[in-house]
Amino acid sequence: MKSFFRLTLVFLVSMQLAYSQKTLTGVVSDSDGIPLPGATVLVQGTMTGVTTDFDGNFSINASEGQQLEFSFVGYQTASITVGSSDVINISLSLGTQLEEVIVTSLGITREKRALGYAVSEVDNSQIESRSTGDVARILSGKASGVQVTNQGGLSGSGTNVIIRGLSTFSSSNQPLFVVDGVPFASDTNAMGGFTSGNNGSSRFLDLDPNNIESVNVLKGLAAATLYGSQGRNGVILITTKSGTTAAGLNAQKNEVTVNTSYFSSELAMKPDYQNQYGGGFDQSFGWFFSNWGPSFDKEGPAGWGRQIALNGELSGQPGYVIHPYVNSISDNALPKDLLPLIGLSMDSLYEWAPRDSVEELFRTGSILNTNVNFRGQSDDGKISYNVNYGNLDDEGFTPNNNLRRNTLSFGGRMSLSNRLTVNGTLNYSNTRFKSPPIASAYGGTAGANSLYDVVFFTPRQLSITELPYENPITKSSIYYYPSNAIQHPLWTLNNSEDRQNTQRTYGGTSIQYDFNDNLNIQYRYGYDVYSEDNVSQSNKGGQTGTTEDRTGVYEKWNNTNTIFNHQISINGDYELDDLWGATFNIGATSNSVEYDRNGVRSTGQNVFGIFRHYNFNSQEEIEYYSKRNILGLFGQASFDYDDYLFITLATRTDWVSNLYEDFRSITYPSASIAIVPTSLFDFGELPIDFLKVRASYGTSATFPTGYPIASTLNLDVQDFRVGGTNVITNSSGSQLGNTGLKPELLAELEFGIEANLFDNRLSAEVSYYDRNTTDLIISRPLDPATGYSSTNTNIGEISTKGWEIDLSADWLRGEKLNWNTTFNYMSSQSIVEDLGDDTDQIIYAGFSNLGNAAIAGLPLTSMIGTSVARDSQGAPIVEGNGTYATNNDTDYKNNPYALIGDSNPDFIANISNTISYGNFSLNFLFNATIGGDMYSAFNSTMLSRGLTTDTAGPNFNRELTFLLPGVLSDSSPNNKMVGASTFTFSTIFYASELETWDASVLRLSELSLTYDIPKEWLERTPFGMASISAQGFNLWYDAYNMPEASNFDPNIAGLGVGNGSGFEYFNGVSARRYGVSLKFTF
Amino acid sequence: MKNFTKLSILSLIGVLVFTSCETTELDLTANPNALGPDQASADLFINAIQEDFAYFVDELGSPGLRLTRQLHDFFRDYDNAYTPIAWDGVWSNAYQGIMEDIRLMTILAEEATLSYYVGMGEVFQAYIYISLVDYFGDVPYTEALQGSENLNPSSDGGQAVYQAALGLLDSAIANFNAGGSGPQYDMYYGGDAQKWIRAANSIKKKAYLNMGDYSSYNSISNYITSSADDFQFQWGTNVSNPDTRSPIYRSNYTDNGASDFQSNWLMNRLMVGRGGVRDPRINYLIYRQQGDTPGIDAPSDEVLLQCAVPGFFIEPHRIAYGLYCGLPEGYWGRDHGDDSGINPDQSRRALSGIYPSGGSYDSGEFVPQYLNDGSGGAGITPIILSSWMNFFDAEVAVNTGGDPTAGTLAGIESFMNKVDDITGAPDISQADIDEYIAAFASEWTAASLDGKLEMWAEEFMITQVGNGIDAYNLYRRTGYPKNLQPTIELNPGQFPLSMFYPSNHAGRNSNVNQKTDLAQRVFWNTNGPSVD
Repeated sequence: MKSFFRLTLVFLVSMQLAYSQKTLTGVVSDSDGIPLPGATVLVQGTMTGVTTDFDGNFSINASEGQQLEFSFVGYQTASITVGSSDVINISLSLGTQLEEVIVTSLGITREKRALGYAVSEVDNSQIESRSTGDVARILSGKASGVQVTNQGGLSGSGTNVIIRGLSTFSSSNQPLFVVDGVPFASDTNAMGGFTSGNNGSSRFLDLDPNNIESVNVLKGLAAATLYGSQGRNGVILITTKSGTTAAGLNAQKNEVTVNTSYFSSELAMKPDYQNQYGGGFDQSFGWFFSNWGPSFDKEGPAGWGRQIALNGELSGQPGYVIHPYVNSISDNALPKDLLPLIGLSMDSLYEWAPRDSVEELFRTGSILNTNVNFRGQSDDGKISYNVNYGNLDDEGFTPNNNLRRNTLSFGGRMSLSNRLTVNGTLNYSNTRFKSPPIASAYGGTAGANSLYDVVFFTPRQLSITELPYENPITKSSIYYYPSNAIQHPLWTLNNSEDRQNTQRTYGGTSIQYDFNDNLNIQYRYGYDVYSEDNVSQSNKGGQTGTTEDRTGVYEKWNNTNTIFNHQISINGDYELDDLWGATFNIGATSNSVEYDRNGVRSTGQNVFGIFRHYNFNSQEEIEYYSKRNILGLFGQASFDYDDYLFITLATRTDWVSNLYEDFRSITYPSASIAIVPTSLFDFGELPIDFLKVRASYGTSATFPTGYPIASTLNLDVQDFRVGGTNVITNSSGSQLGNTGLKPELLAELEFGIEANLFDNRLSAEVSYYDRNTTDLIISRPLDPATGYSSTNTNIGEISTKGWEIDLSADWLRGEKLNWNTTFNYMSSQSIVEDLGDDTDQIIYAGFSNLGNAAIAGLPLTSMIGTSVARDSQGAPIVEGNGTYATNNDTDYKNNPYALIGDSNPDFIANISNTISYGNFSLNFLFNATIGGDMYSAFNSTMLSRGLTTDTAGPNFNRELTFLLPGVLSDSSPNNKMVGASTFTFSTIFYASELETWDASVLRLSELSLTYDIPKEWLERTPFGMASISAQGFNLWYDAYNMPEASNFDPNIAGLGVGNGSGFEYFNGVSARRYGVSLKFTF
Repeated sequence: MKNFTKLSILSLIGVLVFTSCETTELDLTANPNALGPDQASADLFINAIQEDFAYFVDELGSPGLRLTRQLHDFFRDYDNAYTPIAWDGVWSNAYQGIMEDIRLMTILAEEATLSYYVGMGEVFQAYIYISLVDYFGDVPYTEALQGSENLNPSSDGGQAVYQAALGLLDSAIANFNAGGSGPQYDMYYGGDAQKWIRAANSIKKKAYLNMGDYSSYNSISNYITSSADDFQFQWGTNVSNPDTRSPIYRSNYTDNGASDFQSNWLMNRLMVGRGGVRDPRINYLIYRQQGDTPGIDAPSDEVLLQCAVPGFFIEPHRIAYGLYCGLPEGYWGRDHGDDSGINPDQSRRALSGIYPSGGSYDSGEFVPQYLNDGSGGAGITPIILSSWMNFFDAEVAVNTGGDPTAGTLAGIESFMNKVDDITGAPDISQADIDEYIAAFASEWTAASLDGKLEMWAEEFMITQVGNGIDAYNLYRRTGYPKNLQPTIELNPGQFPLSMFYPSNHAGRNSNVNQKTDLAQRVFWNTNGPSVD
């Protein structure tokens, strides 16, 4: 038998030698004539094969009559019989959609059909030329499983990104960003917390979306195993245009692409104000915050004719009131003799008439965005490069808010010899963000400077823009409220601001050595350094915040974040036999993240208007440092059998530097399988073009950040003062160190099905996942009677289940008319299964009596707050004054009504339609976020303070009396009639349960009309292609279960970027943007 | 050549990987942002403890004042006035803030034989434990402060905790008697061990009084009998970095006026005085920002004070009591339990005066007061005053069949003199003091024992401003004064005979179950009178 084999081999070889060999050359290109570098050319039935170079050129020895097979991933394989000609040029046509190549973890490219897990892709046409410079906001609605929440409509504000729901509450749930193969810091370093103003950009803002070639979203744990614990929240893999060049993909002849756009932005969230009644309570006039005062009509029971303050009895002129600044003279806000300096006198009056000034405070913003891309390669294809420059100048609709960004990136690749390839990317960006401070507020005065706070509920008779805002001598804030407790919004605007100036450089280099066609070794070095200079300042003379804040504050600090990443891997790709193929990757990686914050906070300003530390009385340090290293070993092996069975096994072990030695490392394996029945069976007449079923199991871990196991001692050198000397104190830290702390464990099962139907007109992908987090790292709240307030420990369990559906339909596929619809759907639910025996409830975001709580058995997104008191039958209890008794106990165990909502939406669905006719293309993206609750200070204030048409006119006759549903303390039905202001103000504001609404929203997210200028028009111009597009973003939305006239947009992360959700504290209002963009190449 | 290339690449990679040890260091567990526990100092601990103790007394004392109508209370029903979460701060300050520091400080101080420090720690600890029992009943003592050894410390019975506290005070007295110098900053007694011993004995007397153990009470002689020995904390005037001002001042004297309301009951008590003689302390305790009150003795103003607008609905039970809404002459506060929206009256309503908050003395100028006005916050937080000891004596006298007159009169006079001695305000003329005391005495003489006790309790209450712990105890212990202002709500629910456990205690400790209601009495009050 053996000898027969040998004999045959000899025979075959000699046969081959018998034919005359010749050298064939040619070019492999795609159907548009663009050369395909790296395409495989094989002489069929032999082991002879070559790959094309950068110009698609190949050269191979073959004999006449032999078959040459040309293949390239993503394209249909073609074969040609060698004839007499020595030159063979061939163009390959695109393969079916599902044979596309996908960049998976660590930059490993694989055919999508081989994947046992879900990956969403978004290409550059869906990303470039958008009105925002924030890549995460652009991704919103374009990839199933990805939930994007804007912190607000402020240009440059932070963005919250969650993939597949929350899986932990002690650590970040934000995904890992990987740019061109290198981990990329995406932190949001807010300037203060949400209570003091959470301005600060999310650092993925340093990426220019126009420089992005494609984005892949790895959603599950199996997909991200190789990224280790950093990939546990999903991975957003971004390939920039520069990175594309570096990877050797898509190399082209020299080309310049210019992308430029101009957009306008405006406040989208404009309430429908009523103009029937002005400030006061119970139809009586007063300089209150609230707007339950008399009518602007003279007649009628609520008319101003009945008010002595308005009918001329006090002011001397009917329909006029004593000017508010004159009225507050006795309250010392503004001394009498300064009145003339602001154009007033003791006789000044103010007309009792409605004024619309909220809109006047805002402006129409503008966004100018330009991106220029150069790409090209050397004639021999051995060197290729890409240079990209982007400029963004985004002036927000909020005065003094802008975002300016310059980005410059280089990517290049060089083949040193046949076996050694070096490539690299280098990026620089400078992002400057500026904004008025925006702190949280409940509808009264905020605890810190906040521009949005008192603006939206300005009583209707007042004009923000007409009332002088500063004491002409001291420059301190003056406003209409008698005790001057309200800071004038214009004072806030003119005297306080937050700035963030970020210099960033990032990139990487990789060196690859090919041992042979099947085996290579690769070393990759990546770095990412950003230096964020922050300034937060306010002149003295404000009326908001602490006594210290009012003396003037100047905080200046720098955050420098440095990531170094080393990675070495050996990668192999073998055909085991005709049916079995295998690839493997094994490697090691080290990741180091260092964060260093340094600065000074000064208080007590001397000379007004000067912000330098020397001008302040007192200084305190701002300092924080952390460094964490992670080492990892990884391995992955994948096997494919006969094009219908694909198995991938992977594992990674990590060691982390901030845990005790014994608990420092953890190993997490994963496995996935994909079966393609359409390659196995003939489905005959059934309209099934492609079918795949897949399953995967993945694990990962969460490592804590900072220094979670250390016990500390607090030293305060300015704790008290005796006899003019500072008294220094030390006291034990509130956290009890626990060296037994372990990483959190995550495990996920995922199932999916993918299908192409009806001649590939319809494609569908459905995924289901079930993720469990155990050994939760909980900052377990301790009874202070132990001597400590918390300790980090591992208890509890969270489970997250969800569905993702992606559909795409080509309704029309014509020469001229095309219509495609894509639809994606996601639903996920995270439940707290267990919190350990000693813990009932942990508030992990927000305020301790109004925030997100983890409670065993309830959704992790539960919201806790004060409620209306109920009797044993559950009926609301009404007190003697006709308003609800409240229950301020926010412990769910004692008061189940403290559960005021669940912020998690039932589902999020997006429909995108592209209709093209000839050179015109119309696209719109429609979003539906259904279910989920939101505590909204904005809505409750609009109602409680009587500002909008919801509280006047045909909707609500405020001159009547009202009866709250409920029972009195003796269980008899409530019979205490109350007036409109008591019915709303004294009710809604007193229980956060009543300030919570269903946040379902329908939204027209994007609308665009694009015209591709016909090629024939461009023939005599230097341009290769040109297109023009008119676009609008967030043009329409309707939160239909919220108060109608508030026009509230629930896409707001009031608690800032983090794990909290479902709360809004007057710290974000949304924007609407529209404009034109132009793209051309030459 | 080929091998050389391979070799050089491998070595390049090797060099890059191994020179990257900055990124491979795996032992980075110590927190560089704070000191480690082993770097603590007894001197710095005792500084922190003394200041935190003053905050503890202020924070726990304020609800006592509000419940006994010495300050305005913002809730219509008692269940919601002081919810479990409202106590988290004071509980955390007591155990984690102060007593853990005392435990750690004591270890260091005993090593260095700093017995004075140890004694101070014991006095603070005893006062805290006694006060926690007074408010909450059973609290952790034997299992407390054990860190990871016991994350769910069980409570001890209130009586056991009281006994333990008395033991701590005995130990403190021994430590102060042992000699040894005090710390650099003794913020209470400036290094005088004898005064500390008197304070310790006074706390013991107070505990025995609560327990009804009058013979033990009477057996202690070396206690605070002169206001020079008063146990109190002196605040400063620094606004920030650090803020050393009296906490009461901080909520009364701001850029935008007051954020707290004075009690109408207390102001009325002082205005009405005795036998037609106004209490001369009123100008020290209360500051008026304007000289009349809208709707009372000035034209009504619905912006500033709605309840005084004619036709405003006032509940019949408030009218029946006779005092509601406001008082004339700018004595303008709020009724007990009035939770209506805030009027823009911050620069008009009455403020806490120069005593105890370090505010302004009311000389009848009627000027709105703002930040830094008056004494700038250099007030005190009283812990035990000599006048209180006099009032205690009066109570013990009555309960042992004696006469409360001497104690009561001594108490009035002692407090009158304390207020009078404040710097930054004129003295009360002796004639005024004499006149008031004479008027009081004549009313007192005419009164029945019940009437006397009412007067005794009212006078005691007046001296409690700044720290209502003993006011709350007094009210529950004796039921006097019986004529306090009712709440706005006719049925405000159960008056707290003890407080709900703090939520950070009951919610985080598996050995503690929250109380179902506020009717649970503390151990020394099991047969106490009913109060509302």
